[in-house]
Amino acid sequence: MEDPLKQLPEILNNGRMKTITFKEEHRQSVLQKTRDLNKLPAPKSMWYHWFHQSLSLALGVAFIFLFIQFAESMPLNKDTNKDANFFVKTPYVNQAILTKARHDMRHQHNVTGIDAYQKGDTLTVYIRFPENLSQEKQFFLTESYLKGVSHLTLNEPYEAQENLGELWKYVNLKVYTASSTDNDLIAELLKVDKDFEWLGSIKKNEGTLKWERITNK
Amino acid sequence: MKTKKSVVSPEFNFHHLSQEEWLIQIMDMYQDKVVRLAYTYVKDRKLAEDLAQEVFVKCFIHKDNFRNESSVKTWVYSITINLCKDYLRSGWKKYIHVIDRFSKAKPSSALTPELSIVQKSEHEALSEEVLKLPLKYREVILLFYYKELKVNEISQILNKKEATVRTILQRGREMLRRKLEKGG
Repeated sequence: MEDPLKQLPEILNNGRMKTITFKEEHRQSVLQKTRDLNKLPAPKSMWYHWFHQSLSLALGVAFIFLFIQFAESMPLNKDTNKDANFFVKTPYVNQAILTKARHDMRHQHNVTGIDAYQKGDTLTVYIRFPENLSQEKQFFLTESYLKGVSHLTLNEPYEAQENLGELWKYVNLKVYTASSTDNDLIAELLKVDKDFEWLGSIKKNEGTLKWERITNK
Repeated sequence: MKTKKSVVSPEFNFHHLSQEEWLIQIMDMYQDKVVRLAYTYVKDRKLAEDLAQEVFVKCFIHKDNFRNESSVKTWVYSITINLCKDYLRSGWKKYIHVIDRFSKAKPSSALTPELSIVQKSEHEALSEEVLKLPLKYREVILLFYYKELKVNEISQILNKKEATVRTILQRGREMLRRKLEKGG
């Protein structure tokens, strides 16, 4: 028996496919498309160039304007304020403690001067004792003062300090001895870091005060 | 422009022709074959016509890519089949089909009134069943029996091994036979 599929070309071409042809309009459409492919792009009109350049200019101006606005809103460089911030203002809590200590020491122990400033994580405390006060007494008073100002129990680790003194990590104590005078030396001391005798330093995580003699008088 | 239906050797040397002349020759030789081949894939007359136009534009664009390793016929058929498959895979086609379901009162048909009278004839039943085959089998059956291509040509066009083409052809034939027996 003959394979009916062999008649398929005849069946399809004379039947279903008979009307499916590629017409002249389709040929013309193909030729037109191929001609369009080879055609050079039409030159742009003057209006196009004018519009394009105007738009570019407007965008450029807008960008510069935005850039200036942004630059003006930036904060000043830190370097410009470097001198002004050299003596960092002692934080409020530290200042309050120092005020109390100053009051106590001046009235009870005849301490002639006490002040402090904080720079970074180091609190520097200046204490000027009267000349007639013995060295042992000076140390004792200083340590009492530190306990007073920060509830800092010397020889105890930092964890026992109950958050007081969190505003600094290190304390430098600069102890001076001077004869009684009416001059207010504090301002001078804060500017000129010399002529002190004992430097006491405490690191919070160690909790011990160490004394070091700086000058011999 | 007047259509020239001249008989040209399938393996003409197109290097002597201008690009447009070359395209006209190609269209003269393959225009109906291409549109009918496209129809076997998309089963829509208008679409097949549009795809056939696209095929010839592609042939024109990729003219320089044609190497004499294959015949012009297999090259043109390859482009047609790839384009039809791209279309069938595209989301656009799926979208159009959804639209068609709602908008078309009756599906696009290539049948003339005269042909519809003999629609139920044996021959028409055969062509109907061939076109209903799954694409995988349909394309091989049609390329072999309708386009009368050899197995090696089909394997070249479909980028499949000859053995695979033979297997698909055999299975397609069996599938068709079962369908015709069932229908008969």
